[in-house]
Amino acid sequence: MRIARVGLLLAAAAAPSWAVRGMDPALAARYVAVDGQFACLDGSARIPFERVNDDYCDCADGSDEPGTSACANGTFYCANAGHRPGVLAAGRVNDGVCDYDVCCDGTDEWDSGAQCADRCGEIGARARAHEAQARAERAAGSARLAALVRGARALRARKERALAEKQRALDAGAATLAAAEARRDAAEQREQARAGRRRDAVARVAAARLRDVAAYRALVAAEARALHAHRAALAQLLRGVARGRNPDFNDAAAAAAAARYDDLAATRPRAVADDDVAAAPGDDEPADIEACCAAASRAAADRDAADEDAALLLQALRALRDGYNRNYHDLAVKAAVEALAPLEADRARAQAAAAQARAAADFAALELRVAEARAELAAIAPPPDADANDDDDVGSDAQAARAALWDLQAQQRSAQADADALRTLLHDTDLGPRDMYLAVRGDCHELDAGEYRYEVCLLDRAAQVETRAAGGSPARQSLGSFAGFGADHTVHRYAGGSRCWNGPERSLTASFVCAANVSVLAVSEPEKCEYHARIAGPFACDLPSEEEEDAADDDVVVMETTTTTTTVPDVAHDEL
Amino acid sequence: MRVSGLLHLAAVLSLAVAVEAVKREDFKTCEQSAFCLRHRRFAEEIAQAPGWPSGGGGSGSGSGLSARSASPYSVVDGSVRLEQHTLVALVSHKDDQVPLRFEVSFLASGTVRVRAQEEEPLAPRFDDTQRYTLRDEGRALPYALLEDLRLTSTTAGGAAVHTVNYTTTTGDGAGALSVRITERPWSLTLLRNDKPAIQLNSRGFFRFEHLRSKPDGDVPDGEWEETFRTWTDSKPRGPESFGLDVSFAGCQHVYGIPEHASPLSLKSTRGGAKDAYDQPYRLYNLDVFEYEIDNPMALYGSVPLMLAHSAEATTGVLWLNAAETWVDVAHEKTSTIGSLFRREEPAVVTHWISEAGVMDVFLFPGPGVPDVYKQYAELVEQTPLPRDFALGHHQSRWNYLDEADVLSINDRMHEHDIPYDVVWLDIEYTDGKRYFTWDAAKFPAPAAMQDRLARDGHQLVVVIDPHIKRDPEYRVWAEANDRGFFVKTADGAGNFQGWCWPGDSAWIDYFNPDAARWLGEQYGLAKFNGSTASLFVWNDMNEPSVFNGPEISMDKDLQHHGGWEHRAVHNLYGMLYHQATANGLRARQSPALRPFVLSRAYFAGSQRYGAIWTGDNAADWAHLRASVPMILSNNVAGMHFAGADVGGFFGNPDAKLLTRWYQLGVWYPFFRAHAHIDTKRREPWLMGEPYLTHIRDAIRERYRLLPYWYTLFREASLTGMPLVRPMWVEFPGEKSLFAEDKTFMVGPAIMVAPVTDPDPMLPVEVVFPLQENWYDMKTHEMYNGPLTRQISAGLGDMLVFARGGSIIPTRERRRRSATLMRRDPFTLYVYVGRTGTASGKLYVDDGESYDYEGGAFIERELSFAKARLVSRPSARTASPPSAAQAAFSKRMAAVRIERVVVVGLRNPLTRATIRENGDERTVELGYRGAKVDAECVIRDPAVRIGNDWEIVLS
Repeated sequence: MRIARVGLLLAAAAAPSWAVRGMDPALAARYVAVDGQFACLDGSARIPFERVNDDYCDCADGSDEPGTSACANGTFYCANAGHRPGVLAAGRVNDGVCDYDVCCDGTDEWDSGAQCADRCGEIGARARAHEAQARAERAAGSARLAALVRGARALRARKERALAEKQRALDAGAATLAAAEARRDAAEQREQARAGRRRDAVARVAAARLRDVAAYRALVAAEARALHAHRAALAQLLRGVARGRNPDFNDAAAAAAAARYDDLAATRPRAVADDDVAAAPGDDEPADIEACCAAASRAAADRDAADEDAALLLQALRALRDGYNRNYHDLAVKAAVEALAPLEADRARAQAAAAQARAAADFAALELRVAEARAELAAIAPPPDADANDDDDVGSDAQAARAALWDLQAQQRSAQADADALRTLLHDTDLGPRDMYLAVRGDCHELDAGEYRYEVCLLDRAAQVETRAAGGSPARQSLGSFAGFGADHTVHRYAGGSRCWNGPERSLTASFVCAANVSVLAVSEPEKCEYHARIAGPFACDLPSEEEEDAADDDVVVMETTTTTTTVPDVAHDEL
Repeated sequence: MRVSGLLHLAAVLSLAVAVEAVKREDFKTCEQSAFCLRHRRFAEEIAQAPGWPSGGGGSGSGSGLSARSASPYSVVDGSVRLEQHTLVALVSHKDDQVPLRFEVSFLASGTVRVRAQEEEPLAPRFDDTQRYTLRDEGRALPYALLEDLRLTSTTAGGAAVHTVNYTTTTGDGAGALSVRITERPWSLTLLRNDKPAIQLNSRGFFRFEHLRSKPDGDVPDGEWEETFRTWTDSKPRGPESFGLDVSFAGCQHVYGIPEHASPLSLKSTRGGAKDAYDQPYRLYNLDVFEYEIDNPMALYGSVPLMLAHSAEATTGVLWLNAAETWVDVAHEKTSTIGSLFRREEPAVVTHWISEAGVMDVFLFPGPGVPDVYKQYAELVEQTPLPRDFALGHHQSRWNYLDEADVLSINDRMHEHDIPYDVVWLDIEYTDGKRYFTWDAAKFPAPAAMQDRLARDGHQLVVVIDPHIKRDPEYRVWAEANDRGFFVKTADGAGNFQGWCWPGDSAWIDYFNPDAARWLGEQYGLAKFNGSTASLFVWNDMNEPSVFNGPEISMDKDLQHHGGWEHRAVHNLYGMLYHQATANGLRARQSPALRPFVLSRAYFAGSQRYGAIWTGDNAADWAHLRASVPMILSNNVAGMHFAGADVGGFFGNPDAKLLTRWYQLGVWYPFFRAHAHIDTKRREPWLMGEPYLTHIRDAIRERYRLLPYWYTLFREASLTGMPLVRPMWVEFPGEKSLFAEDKTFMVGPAIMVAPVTDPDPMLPVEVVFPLQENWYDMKTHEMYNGPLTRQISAGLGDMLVFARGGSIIPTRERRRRSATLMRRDPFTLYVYVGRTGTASGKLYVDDGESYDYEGGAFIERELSFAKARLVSRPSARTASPPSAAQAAFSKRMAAVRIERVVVVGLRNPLTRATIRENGDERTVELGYRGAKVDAECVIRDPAVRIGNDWEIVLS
């Protein structure tokens, strides 16, 4: 058997003279002629050795053409003396492009006319400097992370102690509560005896007047409810315009409507409250005449306020309807304008019904009789808790006992909530491997990106704030609240932010890259209202194992030399 | 949507944002366009039937030669005379004294031109559409010589008939053409071998509104003022529209008049046929948001070219008018008097209605498909050769955010080995939608970014729209304003202002040649900061789109240069903008390189300036299917370089739809993926496997076949033939294929049967026409036509077949971009036909310059017969070679044929003898693919593409 090392088919000064162009030196033993033949590396065929690098693909695996672009699946090896070797896809050989990112020695363009000088000296040096810097950054990041988890260990211990302390206080509080309850019960027994006398007097008035007062209250309450509903519907329309309109359209009428909405929200919050209907006077009939009188007064005041609010809202919507620009096809504006007419008709019907109800009840006479009932009640001594300076101290005694109990209950509830929150944090919250996020949870970091400032509060929330607000307060959009980790603990998801016009709720995905200090590097919006943040921070750095960390306490150098062992975060978490 | 009551309020608010459909009420119906309604009603009166041609006897049912319509228009006695190549006649309405001058001209190619307007119009009518559309502004059309025309006049049945017989240079019909004009009522028939082919006014629908003074007192509704929704058209010129019926005897199918989202074979709009439209096809360039499929509504472009086809002949009509135009179509059976008995013969009757301008109609007699395209192209020119990169894969999105985003698209393409040529930027790259500027925060160094892309052969396309932000600080606006380059208000006093992307805007008036030139200059490399020679342009919104205008466009009474109303020029606006941009790009370098400009609006002639696409489609299967007839219709009408947004512009395609869309999109002449700003990102690598692999495979197939595509463009640039072709174009005698618009041909050699159903198990019906072999391009499995097969296509499969008898040139090296393939060797695929022969072409030039005009190209005729493959220079190759050609051949001297694959050989052969330049050498033959043993591979014949050579198999 004759073994021959065949020289280059095509001259290339940079490569060792015995090499086949583009061949991985590790495979040199395979690129030898055996009986004048080359065996494809996958063993699929044997071809005459002169067909290696003859710019025609013979082997199914592309191995016969390591130095040309002939094989679709071929690869080209460049030695890159002065830097690390590279492997280039065959399609990039001799295509006229110096692929310095892979072949800094320029050997990929040996037959294309492209002049690719060897730049490995410069590129290699730059890469080494870059790698050294990255290594240093990673080491610093790991050290910082180690410090964080060390701190977290101590912090957790402190917090656990605090939790135990809180629990003890809660137990003690329970006993104090029981005593206060007993004191209140005694005081209330005394109070009830006194109240019985007054109750009889009021009952006499009630027997004669309750029907009138109840009828009056029901009428007024019904009117108030109707107005509440009307106001809420109008507010919803105007809110739809204020929040849903496309400000890019620059429609003056729509802008005015939105401004009016904001104005009302500031000066008459109830006018635009979205749970307003629930706050309307109910239809539960108070059996107690005094409560009934008070309810009637409240209902009347409520009705008058709602009426005023509704008038203002209606005015704003009518102005919009008459003034908006139809050509913009702003869906939000169109929806409001289209819904306005039916709403006005509904309101007219409700008013007619109210007038009819008043007539049927002979409202004026009824109002007079209610006034008389109020006068009669006023003549009876006020209830004991109405005046703290009452010389009869039985009532105030019970009042004080109740107040003391309430205070204690409130304290106890608050202490319970504190303890629960702390327990949830310590026992039911994913704080990353070895509590890496415990100490930094809620820390906020910002990026000023020209038009907007981005704010990410770790494991809490994210926001976008306009920086060039033209007068007034800068618009602030929530980009969501923390909604969990992504593929691993270096990806944070924030979701459920404010809704985009004609789009989804804003959300942000933060991906961490390893660095010692936390800083928001970049925020982009690759899809509408879906933000991506790149954040530097130690959380993406290698987390030294606890043993390493213990060693590191003694010798920092050791840690630096062992950072190549990767610690899988999940494993570390399990160890916790 | 109409909802009332408070309870529904929430529903209104939520539904309002969810509704996704065209806002039909934004666009006019024929009834809302007064002139259309007038002509349509007139036609009904003449046909004595609402919605003709429902019959009812009378004149409407007879359009044979001797039949008479009830047309009130007749030729004035004694007015007919022949002057040079033109027959002149006066025609007048029986009730008025306003004679119309008709000019019937004869071109040497057989084309007949018919023009009409008042003999003495009260005011000039707009007659410059010919200037903007026709070759050399229509000044030097190749008219027939007087001696080739013979006029004879006779009287038949009491009516005078004038016949012009003439000879033609086209087709096999020399001497067989004649035009017959009947005087009372007037009608014109183009006959081939004495058989009517195209008839004008045979139905009597001709109606011409002569210009008039505004009468005192009440005026008829819609004639002197017209209101649509909130817009009022002042119509100072009064009524000036005209209409004409054009009938195609013996035909059942007509095609063309894009752009509509409707089937390839145009549907009836009259006559109450099942599945008919109730509106005419409309030609009026409009920005239609979320357009509907299967609808004759106007879209972004208009080409008033219609082809009619029967198994016997193909003819065509160009209605050269740029004003709003409506076209009614009716398919009908016509009774003709035969020798002894009546027989039914089909005809398609069309009714063309235009609002303004002069009547100017070209009749193309064919008789073959190539003849019609030759006749059309001699008037309106062909599609020029594009830059090679333009045929590659374009990746666009509204919007790639910034330089890092653009470069990451570039990097991901490389990382995933997806070849691509161009990355696109939509409007957000600008500083506040001020075109020719960059958002400095997002694109601080655009030239460096382009250089980075160009390093790997990639280009950048940026959008430049025709609306100019009204901002005195904005140089472009200020300059155009100072020079008076903007479109004017109706009274001509001020600049028209409207709304578009930047807000308050003005529009450059390209009818002012100085303005068009000035716009072109803005593309100068020194003028357009941040532009480099690898930056190209996308002209969008050029219908023009005006957000607050009638039908989202300009008011018709606006004034253009020369005092012409927008009404008369509307459909030209987009093309003139496209032209100004293309000229600007061409002029920015010396020697000039070919420009690339994509336009949304277009008109007959736009093919000269670049590519077009089907506008804002949607990510659903129906739009995927609709893209085929839409692109075919554009190709039928000479708009060859056409595509549809791959993936669909609106909405989010799922991975399956996107994969199928790429598998179809690689067969669009213009292949671009694009997406709306509200959509999820959908670049191929985001789809995951197996979709990424399937998409990459499809795109690689496009790149592999780029030499074939480029050769097709070369042919189109010379012959005017479509690139992608309806089946009937390639198989003109196969009646069953006349309405086929799912399957189509890419050039003469490749048949594509798109998979457009989400269920991969649902088979696609593929008709293999003719007595010919067809080869699956991937497996080389053979199908013997004629044959209909149901074929299931797995998600990775495209149903693409090579026609037996074809030779298809390919390049199989995997490069990052088309421009990096210029020096690559070729692989030829010989698909042996049933007679044992095959033929094909290969055209190569530098892919960017105009040197090919001086002969710097290689063009080969490849033929295979009797086991012998031969490459000969094409007839267009000068002999001896010109200096330019010799220089180019020298440049390409290293470029060889690295492989020949012969598919469909019946006898196994073992040896190939190669003869080139007097040398002779032998190579062995290999066979590959265990399944198909008839696939023979000639290993590296190494013949040079520029040389004459032959390979003999033995």
